[in-house]
Amino acid sequence: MILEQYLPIIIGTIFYISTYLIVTLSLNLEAGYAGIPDFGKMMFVAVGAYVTLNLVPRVTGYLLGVDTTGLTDSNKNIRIMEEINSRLVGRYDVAAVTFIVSIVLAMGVGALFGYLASRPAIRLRGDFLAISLLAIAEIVRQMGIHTDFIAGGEMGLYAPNIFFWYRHDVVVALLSLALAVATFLLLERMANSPLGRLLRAIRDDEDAAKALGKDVTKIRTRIIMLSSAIAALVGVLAVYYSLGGTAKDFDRVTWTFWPWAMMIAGGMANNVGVLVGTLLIVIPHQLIFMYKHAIASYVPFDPAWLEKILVGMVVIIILYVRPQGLVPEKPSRTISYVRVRDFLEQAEKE
Amino acid sequence: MPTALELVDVNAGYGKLHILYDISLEIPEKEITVIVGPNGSGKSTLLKTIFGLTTIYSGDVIYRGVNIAGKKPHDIAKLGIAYLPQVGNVFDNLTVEENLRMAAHDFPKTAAREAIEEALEMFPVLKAFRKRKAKTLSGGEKQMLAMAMAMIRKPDLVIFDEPTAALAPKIAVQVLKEIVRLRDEFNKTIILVEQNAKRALEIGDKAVLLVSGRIQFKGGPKELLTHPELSKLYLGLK
Amino acid sequence: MIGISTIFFLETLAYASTLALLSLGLSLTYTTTRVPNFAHATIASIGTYVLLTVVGLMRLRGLNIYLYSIPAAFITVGIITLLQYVLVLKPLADRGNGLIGLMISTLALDIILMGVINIYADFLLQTFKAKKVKLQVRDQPALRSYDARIELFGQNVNVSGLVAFATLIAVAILLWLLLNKTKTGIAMRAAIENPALAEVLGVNVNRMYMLAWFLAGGLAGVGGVFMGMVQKISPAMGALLIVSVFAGSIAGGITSVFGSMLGGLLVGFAENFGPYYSSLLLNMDMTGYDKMFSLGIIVVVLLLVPGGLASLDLSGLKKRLPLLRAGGVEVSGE
Ligand SMILES: Nc1ncnc2c1ncn2[C@@H]1O[C@H](COP(=O)(O)OP(=O)(O)OP(=O)(O)O)[C@@H](O)[C@H]1O
Ligand SMILES: [Mg+2]
Repeated sequence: MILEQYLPIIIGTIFYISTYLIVTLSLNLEAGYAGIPDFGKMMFVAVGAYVTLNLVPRVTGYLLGVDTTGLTDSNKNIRIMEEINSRLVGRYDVAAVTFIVSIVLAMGVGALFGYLASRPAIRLRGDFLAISLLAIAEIVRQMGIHTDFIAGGEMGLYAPNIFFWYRHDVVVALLSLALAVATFLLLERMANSPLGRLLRAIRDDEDAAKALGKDVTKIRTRIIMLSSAIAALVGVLAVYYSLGGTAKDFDRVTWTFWPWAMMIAGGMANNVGVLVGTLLIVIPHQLIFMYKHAIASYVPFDPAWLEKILVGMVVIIILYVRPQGLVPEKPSRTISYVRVRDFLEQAEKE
Repeated sequence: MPTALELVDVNAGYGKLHILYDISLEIPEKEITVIVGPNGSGKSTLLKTIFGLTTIYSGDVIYRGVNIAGKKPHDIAKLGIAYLPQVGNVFDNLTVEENLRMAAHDFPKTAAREAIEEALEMFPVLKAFRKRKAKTLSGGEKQMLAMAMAMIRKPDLVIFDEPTAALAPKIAVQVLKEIVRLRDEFNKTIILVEQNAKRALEIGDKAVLLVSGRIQFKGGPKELLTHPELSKLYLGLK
Repeated sequence: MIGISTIFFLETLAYASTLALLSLGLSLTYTTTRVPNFAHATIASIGTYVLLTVVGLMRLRGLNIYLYSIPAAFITVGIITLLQYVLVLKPLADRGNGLIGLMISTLALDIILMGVINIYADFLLQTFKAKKVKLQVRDQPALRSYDARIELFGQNVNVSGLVAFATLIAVAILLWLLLNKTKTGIAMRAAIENPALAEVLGVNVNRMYMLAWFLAGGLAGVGGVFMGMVQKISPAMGALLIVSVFAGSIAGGITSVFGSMLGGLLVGFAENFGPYYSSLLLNMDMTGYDKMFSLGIIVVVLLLVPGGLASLDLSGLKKRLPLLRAGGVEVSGE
C-alpha cells in the first residue's frame, strides 16, 4: 500500500534523474570538454519531442492503416491517436518499428539542428555562440507554441502508446535509466580517449590547436551535432513518458538552465561530477514537488518560485565557493603547447 | 643617496603562476635604475608588481616608508608614482587631448589645464595633434604622448617599461635623452627596463640583472657591462 | 508611411525606442565586463512592474504616469543592476571564473529575478485587491487606456510612442555629452578601453564599471515602463524580449553603445513592420513570426559582419553624424 502510494514519485524520480543525466552529460561533452557554451540546449530536447509528436505517428499510422491527415490539428489529433492506440495493442512489430523510427529520426533531426543552429557563430567568440544558440532556441520554442503545424501549438499533441503491454511510465523510466547508463559509459570512454584529450586541448588553447592545422570549427560542429542528437533522445523519452507534449514543456529554465546548473554544481569536464550534480538538484526538486502543499502553508507564495530562486542562488554560490564544482576535473589540465602538439599528433595517427 | 623605493623579499606572479622569487631591491632617489634581463625573465612583471598589478604572495614594497604591497593601482598612482607600460600605454580611441585630460582627471580644473600645457611644452611635437585619435600617431609620437601623460601627474618616481622598443634608433636615442633630462632637470627618480642593455646601462646609475625571476646581479652599470660572464651570457655583449 | 496607420506606427516607435534603450544598456555593460548579460530583459521587466505598482497605487493617469514611473523605474532597476555587478559578477570574476561561469551566473540571476518578480506579483495582487485597484498582475493588458492622448494627423492617439522616442533622443544626447564632455565620461571610456592603464593613471576602474552598470540598468528600467504601456504585462515578458535585445546589440555592434542604440531601433521596426509587409507580400498571415525577423538579423549580421553596423566603414557618414563617432566606446568588434 505504501509502495503504491509512493510508486509514482519513485518512477518519476528515476525518470527525471535519468533524462536529466542524459541531457547534462551531453551538455558536459560540449561545454565541459569542448568549451562550447550551449545556451540553447532546450531546443535540441524540444526537436526530439516535435519529431515524436509530429512525424513518428504518421509512420505508425501508415503501418496500422490509420489516416493521419490533420494530425497536428488538435481536434483531429485526439481521434487519430485514439484510433492508432486501439489498433496498436498487441502489434509488437509496429511498436518496435515506431520506437526505432522515433530514436533514429529524433537523433537525426537533433544533429541537423545542432549543425544549423551553430552555423552563424561557430567561428566567433564563445559569447556570440551562446547568444545565438539561446536566441534560436527561444525562436524554436515560440514557433512551436504559435503555430499548429509543428507540435499542435498551445494545445499540444498526443503520442502513440507503444508500451501498451505494461505501465508505460514504468517502462519509459527504466528505459531512460538504461539509456542514461549507456550514455554515461559512452561519454566516459570518449572523455578518456585521444578525442577527449584533443577536445580539452582545443578548449584550453584554441590558437595552438589551430596553429597545428586542426580544423577546430569542424571538430566543434561534430561535437555539437553529437551532443544535440543525444539531447533529442530525451525529447522522445519525455513524449512517451507522458504520452504527448507541447512546445511549452521545453523552456529555458527546465531544459537549458537546469542542466547547466547540474553541470556547474557537480563539476565541468567530469562525468561523475555531472552525476552528482544531477542527483543534487533532481532529488530536492522531487521533494519540493512532493511536499508542495506542506511548504505552501509555510510560505505565502507558490513554492515553485522559491525553488527557482534557490537553484539560481545555489549556482551562483557554487561558482563563488568552488568555481571548479564539487567534483573538479581530473588534473592534466594545464596542457602545455608541447603536449597539445603531442596529443594532436597522436590523434592524427589513430 | 636615500632610498625612494624598496622591495623586501618579494614573491609575486599571476594568479597561481609564480614568476618572481625573493626579490630584494633598493631604488635610490633621483637616480636612474636600469633593469635588464632576457625575454620572459620577469622584468615587466617586476614593474607591475610595484604598481599592484600582480598578485603578491609575500614580501613588502615600501615607498617612502609606506608599505604599498596589496594596494590598488589607482591608489598607488595617487602617491606620485607613474608607470609607462610596455604595451598599451596610451588610449588608442581617445584623442591626444583626451588622453592628456585622462592623465589629469583627478586634478582641479585649472590645475589640470596648466599641467596639460606644461606637458605639451615638454613635448612640443604633440601640440600639432591635439585633436587626433592616439591610434593615428606613429610609434615615437605615441611614446611621447605616454611620457607626457606620466609627467602630467608630476610624479617623483617614474617607471618606464621598454620605452624605446619598436622605435627607430634616432628616436630611441631621443627618448633616452628625455629620460636623462627628467633626472637631471626635474630631479625624478627613474626605473628603466630596456631591451638594449648597453645603451640603457650607459645612462644608468645603478644596474639590476634579472634572470628567471631572480636577481642575478645588483651594482654599478659599468661593473655589469664589463662583467666577464654575465655580460656575455645575458646581455649579448662580447 | 505606406499602409501603416498612425497608431501602429506610434506603437512600433514605442517598442523600437524601448529596444534601443535596452540594447544600448546591454552594450554598455558588455563593454565593461565583456559578459553578455542574459538577465538584461528580465531586469527591464522589473521596470514594468514598477510602472504597474506606481500606476496602481498612486492611481495615475496621463502624463503623470511618466513623471513618476520613469524616475522610480530608473532608480530601482539601476540599483538592482548595480547590485548584480557588485554582488555577483565582480566577486565571481575576482574568484577566477571565466566567460562561461560569468555567463551562467547571469542566466542564474535571470531565473532568480523571475522567481522574485512572480512572488512580487502575488504580493502586488493582494495589495491591489485590498485597495480595490482594478489591475491584473499577470496577463495585464497594456496600460493603453491610462495613457495621455493627443491629436496627431487628425487622429486621437496615445502619447507613449512620442514620449518613448523623445526619451530615447534625450538619453542619447545626455549619454553622448557624458561620455565625451565630462571628466567622468572620458575616464569611463578610458577604463573600458584599457582598464590597466586607467588604473595606473589613478582611475578607480571598478567605480566606473559600477556607474556603467547602474546607468545600463536604469535605462532598462525606463524601457520597462514603455513596455508596459504598449505590451501585455506578465512576469515572463523578459524571456522572449531577450532575443530582440541581443539582436539590436549584435546588429549595431555589441561593443558600440550608440551602434547598439540604432540596432535596437532597427530591430524594433523590423519586428513590427516585417510581419506586416510580408503578410501583404506573401498573402498569408505572418503575425506571430515577428521574432523570426530579429533572428534573421542576428544570423545575417553574425555571418556577414560580426562586428555589426559600427564596424562598417562609415567615415563619410561619421563627419555628419557626431553620434556615431562618440563610440570611443567602440573597441571595434572582433
Ligand atoms: N598577464 C600574464 N598572465 C600570466 N603570465 C604572464 C602574464 N604576463 C607575463 N606572463 C609570464 O610571466 C613571465 C615573465 O614575463 P614578463 O613580461 O615579466 O617578462 P619580461 O622580462 O618583461 O620579458 P620581455 O623582455 O619580453 O618584455 C613570462 O613567462 C610570461 O609568459
Ligand atoms: Mg617586458
